[in-house]
Amino acid sequence: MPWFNNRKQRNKHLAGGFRHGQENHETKAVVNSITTLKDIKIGRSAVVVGINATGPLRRRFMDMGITKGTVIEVIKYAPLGDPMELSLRDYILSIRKSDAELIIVQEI
Amino acid sequence: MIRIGLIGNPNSGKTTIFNALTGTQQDVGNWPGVTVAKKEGRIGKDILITDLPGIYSLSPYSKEEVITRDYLLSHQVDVIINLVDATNLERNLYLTTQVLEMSIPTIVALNMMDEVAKRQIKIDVKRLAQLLHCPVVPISAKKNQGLKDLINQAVLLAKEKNVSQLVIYPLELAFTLDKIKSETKSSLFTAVKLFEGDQSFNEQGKKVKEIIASYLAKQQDDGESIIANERYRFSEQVVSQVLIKKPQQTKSLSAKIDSVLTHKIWALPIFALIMFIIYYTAITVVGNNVSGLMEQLLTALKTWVSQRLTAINSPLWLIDLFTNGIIGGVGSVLSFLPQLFVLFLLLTILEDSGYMARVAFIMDRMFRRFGLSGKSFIPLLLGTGCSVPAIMSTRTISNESERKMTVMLVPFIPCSAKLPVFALFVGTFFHPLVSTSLYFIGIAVVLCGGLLLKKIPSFKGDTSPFILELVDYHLPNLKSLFLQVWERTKSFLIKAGTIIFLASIVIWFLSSYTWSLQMVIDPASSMLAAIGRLLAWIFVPLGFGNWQSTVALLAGMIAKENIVSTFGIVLNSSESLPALMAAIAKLFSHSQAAAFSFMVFVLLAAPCVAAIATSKKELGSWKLTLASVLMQTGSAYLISLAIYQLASWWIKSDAFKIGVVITILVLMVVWTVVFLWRNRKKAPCLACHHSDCERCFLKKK
Repeated sequence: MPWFNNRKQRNKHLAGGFRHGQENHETKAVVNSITTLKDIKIGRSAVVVGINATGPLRRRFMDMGITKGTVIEVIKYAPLGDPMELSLRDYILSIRKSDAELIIVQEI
Repeated sequence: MIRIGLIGNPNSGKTTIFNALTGTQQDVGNWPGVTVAKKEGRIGKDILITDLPGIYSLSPYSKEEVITRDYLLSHQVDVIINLVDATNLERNLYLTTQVLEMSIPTIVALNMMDEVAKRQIKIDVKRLAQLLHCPVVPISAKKNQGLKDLINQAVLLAKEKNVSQLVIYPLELAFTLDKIKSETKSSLFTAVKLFEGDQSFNEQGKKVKEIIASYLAKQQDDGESIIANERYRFSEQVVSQVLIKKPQQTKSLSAKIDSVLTHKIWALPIFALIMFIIYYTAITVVGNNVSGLMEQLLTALKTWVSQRLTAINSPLWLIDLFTNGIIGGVGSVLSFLPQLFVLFLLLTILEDSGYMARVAFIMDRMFRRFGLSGKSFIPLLLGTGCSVPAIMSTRTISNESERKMTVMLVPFIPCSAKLPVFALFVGTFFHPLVSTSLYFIGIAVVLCGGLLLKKIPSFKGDTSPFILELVDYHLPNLKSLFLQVWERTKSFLIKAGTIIFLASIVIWFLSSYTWSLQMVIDPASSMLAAIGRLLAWIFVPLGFGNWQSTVALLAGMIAKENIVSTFGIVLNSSESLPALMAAIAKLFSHSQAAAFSFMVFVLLAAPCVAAIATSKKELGSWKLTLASVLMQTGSAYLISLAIYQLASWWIKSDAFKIGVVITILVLMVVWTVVFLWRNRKKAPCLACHHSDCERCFLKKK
């Protein structure tokens, strides 16, 4: 996948990829592909695959229970669109979209 | 004496338990060298409880966690009480697995058992104790159940010195850790920290490095992740064995409340309404009804004291010192106490209920633009009452540079002590609605100040992550609530009281005597007037270069209420409000521009001494405190200058052409500096779009 300077361009590219994707079973494979937590829609859940952060932030995520295999549900966004509200391990956690972008997940 | 350390996640009910156990026998202070509150309390004579900071983990990255860790490792406790929220076992046990490795006798207190029963969940306490290899006591802090049993068991454990032998790791990892343990002759805790690569435990030999490297070679992860994964895996297993009835899938009460309070459309209006009610109740309702009573009380006290002193033939100066100096000065601050008490009470209820976390959640987006986080909003809100408690409340902000910025910006918010000044000047010169504009100016300066401070290298830092647990709502415990409000009120009384007391005496002395120590009736010939005349030139470009205003501003440094009373004294017109208004109109030669410039200067300039002292305590250094006072006074001067010069040029009544040119030049220079700073920003990273991608994986490669 090429790198784009602009986030909007990149997202457009990805969205295009989904829309013009191949037929049934192939499309399913694309939907369940690896994305970041930021791209999970409200009401959907995903499994954590990895964390793309280092140092304190990585540790903080893990301390709050975001470890490999954890199921995270996206509940809602704050009224101004950021941060997001998540449900995991029987509690509610709030993180910013820019940080959610560092959490690699697979949608379920 | 038995020393107990109370440890647990934030919001696990630690404060409630601590208050229930120790009552008023508490000492509140700071941990040495840091602004993290340290609370100690006693039960009877020979049990000392230390309330450790609320933490999620014992990582080396946060101040609170390091303090807790160092405190426990320095063998200053005989037994640890680990408070666990039974409604959220899985995440709470993560900390427990770390505490149990420290080789200190530990007892697990399973809190919120009443809530567990309500939700029809059953927890097998016996099985939990077996799995954790340590005693477990079910309690309910809210209903005061099981606390006696908890303390008895803790005392028993301190005598027996039984240490949990729990090892949560799979065989191969446990074997590796054991090797490190025997190599370094240390505890399991140290071995785990060495394995994690914790920087504060780095005196490891070559052998240890080899052992760790040979284990990690077979793994895909780093040491820190492996340990964290194992802890949560263990925690999940324990929960699956101990929770007898799985929680039902219906929406919890908190989720129902949240569907309204953090609703996409309604969240902001509801928040505004709640704030309006709190502010209106505390400042207006209580202010109108009780503060007048306090003033009457003080007047009565004044009369009584002067009568008493006259009766025993005291000299005139002594009577004046007591009535005008001490009671006048300290009293003006005390008359705000009822409002502050109610404000503290309402805000503590809000804090204890769990709503403040939602406020941070709602406001974060807006404040991040200005270099602050959602958590900065709470202190700014408190600042409309008084800067002192507002500055103290910045402690909830975990990011150090954001916290310091908030401390420096809070005084720009018009506090209740500045209201009399605005009332007097708006009443004299303007339409009543003009006073609202001062709130807008205050907020605008806070936001611009945030933008500017963010450009200064020491405040730059990484944009801190916003990782916040939205805890379940619950009703506050009455006893705990009362103790917290009392603690805040007490510290306000002590802080404001001592400083105001001394300052009042000094001002009284300066305004009552000449340089040759002759007592004077007319303040125009006092030392204070002389000082005022010496400094008045500074304010000529701002439109109020007379000694009376200068002296009033100086007196305002002690308490902003003093500004009005000082005008009353130095203009010899304190007997009635219309007389004072007329005198002020004359003093400012009926110039609206000068009057508005004066109000803005009062609004933005350095806060009162009590607030400065509190800032010093929270900023931790005199240098930074001085810088913040200069920053505040400097921006007050510049903005007032701009307002006066531009306004008088606009009105063309007393045009001051050179002044206008200089003002515009200064503004242009400031703007250019800001602009240049802004453009120094690096180009954003390709992958993560952060300007400085410390956390991005591209950088790692």
